[in-house]
Amino acid sequence: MIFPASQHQKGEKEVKEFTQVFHGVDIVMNTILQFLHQTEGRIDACVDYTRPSLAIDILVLKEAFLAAKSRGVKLRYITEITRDNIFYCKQLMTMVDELRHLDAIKGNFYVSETGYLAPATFHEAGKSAAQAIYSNVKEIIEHQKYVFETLWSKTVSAEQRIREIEEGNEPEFFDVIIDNVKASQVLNDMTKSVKKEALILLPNDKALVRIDRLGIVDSLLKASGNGATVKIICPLTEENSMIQKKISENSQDIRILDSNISSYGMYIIDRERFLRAELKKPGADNFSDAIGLVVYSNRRITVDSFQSIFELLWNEHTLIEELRKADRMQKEFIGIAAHELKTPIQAILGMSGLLKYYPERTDEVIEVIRRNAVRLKRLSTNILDVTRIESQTLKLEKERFNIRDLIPNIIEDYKERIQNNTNGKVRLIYDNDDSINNHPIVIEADKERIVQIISNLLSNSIQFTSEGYISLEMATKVVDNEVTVTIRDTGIGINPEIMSRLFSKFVTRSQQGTGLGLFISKNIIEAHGGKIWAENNTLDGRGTTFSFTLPLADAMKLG
Amino acid sequence: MNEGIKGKRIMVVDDESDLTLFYKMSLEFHGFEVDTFNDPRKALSNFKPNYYNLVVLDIKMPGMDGFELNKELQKIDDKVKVCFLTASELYYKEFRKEEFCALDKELFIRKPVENEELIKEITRLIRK
Repeated sequence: MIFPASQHQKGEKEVKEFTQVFHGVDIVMNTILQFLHQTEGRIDACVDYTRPSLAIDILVLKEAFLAAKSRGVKLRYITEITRDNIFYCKQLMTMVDELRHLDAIKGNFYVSETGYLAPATFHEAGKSAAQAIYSNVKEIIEHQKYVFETLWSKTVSAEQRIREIEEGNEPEFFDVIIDNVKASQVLNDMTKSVKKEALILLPNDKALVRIDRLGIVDSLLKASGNGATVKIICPLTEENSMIQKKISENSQDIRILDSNISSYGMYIIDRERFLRAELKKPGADNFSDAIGLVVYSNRRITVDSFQSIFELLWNEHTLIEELRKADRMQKEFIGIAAHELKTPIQAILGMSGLLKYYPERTDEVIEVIRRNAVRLKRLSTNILDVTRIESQTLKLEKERFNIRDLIPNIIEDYKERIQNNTNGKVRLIYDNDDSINNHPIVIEADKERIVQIISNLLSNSIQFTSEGYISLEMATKVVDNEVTVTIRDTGIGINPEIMSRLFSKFVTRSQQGTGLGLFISKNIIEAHGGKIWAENNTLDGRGTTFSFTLPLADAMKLG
Repeated sequence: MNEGIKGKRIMVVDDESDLTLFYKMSLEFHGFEVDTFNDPRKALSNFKPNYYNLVVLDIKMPGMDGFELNKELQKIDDKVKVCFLTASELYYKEFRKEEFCALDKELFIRKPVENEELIKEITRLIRK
């Protein structure tokens, strides 16, 4: 053991006086821990603004403080309370007897009745010290106690300082930070203190990697988890894809927009403070190596203008993103629609050309042509519907009617189709709601559209059911004032992989489907104020149940 | 026109049964011997070396696309000629880009194609 532990124990009379310098980050940390663990009576600490966060974040250090307190050691702590470390200072206030604020402290030391410990004479802010001086020489201790008392007399209470900061009485500042390590620390503390909002503009793809290395991404994830808004604009590339993944996996709320490269990074926290860092070395691995001049300020007018710049950029990039998405979707639509259109056209064009060669097979050829013409018709109707939905020009011809009245015709149409398609192996069942026996279920809706949806769902069921039954049920729910229409089958079910995208465009279970039917159905149902959903049957282990709801035209009477 | 194509064997693979029927009727009328498949895997298991002179392949098919199928077929018989047929512009571009096209034994036709055009192109390729 490096530290002369026994010399701090109570009751030791003969103490050999000595002064020693310790080298090495780990050894210094150990020395501090031992000092905290072994000192009795009192400890006075005077440390810079970076230390409170370390005292909380480094678990062993936090435990050492708590242990000292529970031993009854009286702890006095002087630091510079800033807007950024306020969060830590508040926690520290519960761990020490008295915490007070002093402006611009540099250099750190601890002094007790029996020892003086200065972790580093002077070192880079926020970094662990690589050297420490320890002394138990009586004169040195006395001298340092005097220094501490002198500083103590100049401090203000933590409560007062915190109140000043929180009430916005903090004087305006506009700092130009030349020390890059200090800038990293300020940025780190800033992002740790986010309460409501963090707006971040990063100059290049590597910047995201750099701030992650500083621990800033973790702070942002934490802030977002506590309900803060976090928006990031950053060039997104393979270089930072891991960090993008980390963010998206750990937070649904942090939004990142892709952007071009810029010449500086910008951080705006809680509409109160901003930091702007010039990018000097775009390829550097560490934040402190990458940045040039840094400006840090809470000046109202400047914060407001940076806030506006960010918001303008954000809106611009949101628009670009939407345009890109629309463009991508349009291309995809054209690609798939082209394929879907060309297949029946190929059949019609090709087969009609063959009519003259096969006079004896005319009926067969014409049947193929007809079938494909029907497919083309269905497709063109679907494409028109999708176009109307997407351009928001889908019009509903609403009327009041009893939805039960639709059933006989639908059943009539489909009984035969099901019979033919399945060689009689599938039954069509229509279940009336027993409880309100044939009571009319009046809705205000587009009749043709509702028939279209029920037909679409039945057609799907027929396609995927080779034996068993397909059932159609209607039930009214008094509480929600709605009717639920359910179509259940004993078919092949839906692949869980596509379940979540089932109602999106071009998602289909069959090679023949256009993948538009359910998308259209969903939009029509929602335009009526209803819902539509699908589930694989768990009860009898096979098949699918599609359900949709529609609001009733009149409020139903309870009982 | 039928000279040199009598008895030439063609395998046609397309997941749309109406289309394989069309290709079969069209090609058979002009004297080819045609086998059709709607499932690319079945086509692969029925493919024999030195048997087919040409395969007509759709590209977008479930389970295995036309490009993949062609790679497997070429492993079995690297002399077999290929005619790709697709409705997708995307595949067409991809095909061009990757220079799949070994000009003397591969051909790419965009759907929809008319009867005469199909026969003309396939006859030309088979005679090369």
